[in-house]
Amino acid sequence: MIEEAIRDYIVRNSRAALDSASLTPDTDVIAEGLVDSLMLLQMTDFIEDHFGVEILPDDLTFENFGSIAKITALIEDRSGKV
Amino acid sequence: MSEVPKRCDVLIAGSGPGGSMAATFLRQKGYDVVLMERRRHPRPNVGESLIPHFWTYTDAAGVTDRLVAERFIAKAGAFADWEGERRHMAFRNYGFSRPALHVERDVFDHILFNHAVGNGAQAFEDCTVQDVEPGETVVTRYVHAEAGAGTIASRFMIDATGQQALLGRHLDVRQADDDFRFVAIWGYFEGSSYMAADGTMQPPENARTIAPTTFVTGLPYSGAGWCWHIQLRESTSVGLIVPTERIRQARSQPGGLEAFFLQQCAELPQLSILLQRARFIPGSLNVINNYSYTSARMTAPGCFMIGDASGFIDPIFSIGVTLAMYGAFTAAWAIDRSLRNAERAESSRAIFEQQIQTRMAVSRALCRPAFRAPAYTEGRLKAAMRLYSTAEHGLIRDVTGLSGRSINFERMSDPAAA
Ligand SMILES: Cc1cc2nc3c(=O)[nH]c(=O)nc-3n(C[C@H](O)[C@H](O)[C@H](O)COP(=O)(O)OP(=O)(O)OC[C@H]3O[C@@H](n4cnc5c(N)ncnc54)[C@H](O)[C@@H]3O)c2cc1C
Repeated sequence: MIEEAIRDYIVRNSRAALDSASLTPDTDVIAEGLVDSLMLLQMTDFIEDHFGVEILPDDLTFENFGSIAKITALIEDRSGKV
Repeated sequence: MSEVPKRCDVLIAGSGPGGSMAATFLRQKGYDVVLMERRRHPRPNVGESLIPHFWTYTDAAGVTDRLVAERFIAKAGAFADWEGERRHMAFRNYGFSRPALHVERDVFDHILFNHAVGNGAQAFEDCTVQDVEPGETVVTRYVHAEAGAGTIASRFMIDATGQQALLGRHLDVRQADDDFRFVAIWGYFEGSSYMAADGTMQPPENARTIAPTTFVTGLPYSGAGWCWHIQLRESTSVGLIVPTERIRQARSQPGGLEAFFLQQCAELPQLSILLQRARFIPGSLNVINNYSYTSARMTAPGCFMIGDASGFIDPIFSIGVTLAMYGAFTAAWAIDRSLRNAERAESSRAIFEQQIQTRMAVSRALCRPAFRAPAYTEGRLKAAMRLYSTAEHGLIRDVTGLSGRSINFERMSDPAAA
């Protein structure tokens, strides 16, 4: 499942202190410092390799990366599943 | 000396923090990297106050332990005496577990350079890059002190030549920034006192036990001119950022710039107290003229500009080194993505361009004492600020407030995120 994979990726790779129990699909991962500017690029690699979709230059926004739910929606949109 | 190769995956011009870190990041991904440096390490460099964000990059590069072992001076935060108001901030209040640093840049840059070499970058010192031909294959001409002139072909090239801005000049995309027409003059003192984070003045021998702050103060005759005081291990770096017109007058006065500099040090209210028992180190004065610029483009086919080679504004927030490292990381990311999938070369370059331009635009807006951006720019700045954490918003608000510049932050910051 996409959402699980993204959640897992953030838990494993985030540099900020993370209380993994309280990380929900709607947690603001940017405000919390879990996704910073480096993570945005590293996660782009992960998403492209793992889901076989392409992230475009205009995609790196809060609207697409602000929560696990938003990232999931972006990937679903790119894989034409919606 | 080994011979300069004829080809490589990535050629990097310049080995300041940007070039050396880019070399390490690309070596970690297994690429064949050649690093060319016009001078020879250790060599002096300006920019001695580092914000704690830089650790993120040195962690990623695996060089943190070497830097910690050097035992540079840990800095607690910043202390400002600005238009009669005294304010200070401490990084630990924003969730940082590691200190900011005051570093001797000859030593700091040398450690990063050695780390790149240790990771297998082929480095050539006394080797000046003369000219770059962007393209499918990038062709770079250089002159090496021993081997003489030559060319090297690479799939990608990174311009990390600092203020030389090799590629920016060559492509004519470098734009002087008329809003920041300043000259920097700085020199070194022995025996200076410093300001601690609690607002007390401390003698130099306490620097190891009571962490210094970077002290800044505004110049009374210029809204945007200012002065820094950075406590180092054996000396203190003191610098003035002075409007170009004021420097013109100073140059024509008896004693020239040095007399002007020392007079300022003796007259600026808090600075003069810190320097009361200090001795100026003769011959340590440096000048950089009118150094503020941006670049209309920060890439060309196969080429990426990082750090000061891509642009430089006002050093008030001590972010130059960290920005160079961010550029290094982003360029290495874009090159790796392009080499793994040639169809994504164009979009990788576009992402790099967008990320670095945006970061530069945000820094520039925050630096300006008063600023009205066109609506389009303001929208982009707001979108960019939305990508910073809540802790970072608090830090930026307070740091810009030290020098009375938080008005721009308030405009750019989305209340929902702050
Ligand atoms: C007055 C002043 C104060 C500053 N204060 C701070 C501060 O407190 N904190 C902070 O973080 N930043 C500060 N900065 C900014 C900081 O110095 C720079 O942002 C930082 O050094 C940029 O790193 P870089 O790797 O891009 O370039 P640099 O560190 O300038 O390195 C460029 C390297 O390229 C080499 N080179 C140049 N041309 C060629 C060529 N043609 N071929 C081969 N090699 C070449 C140079 O010899 C040099 O080693 C300050 C800057 C100024 C001007």
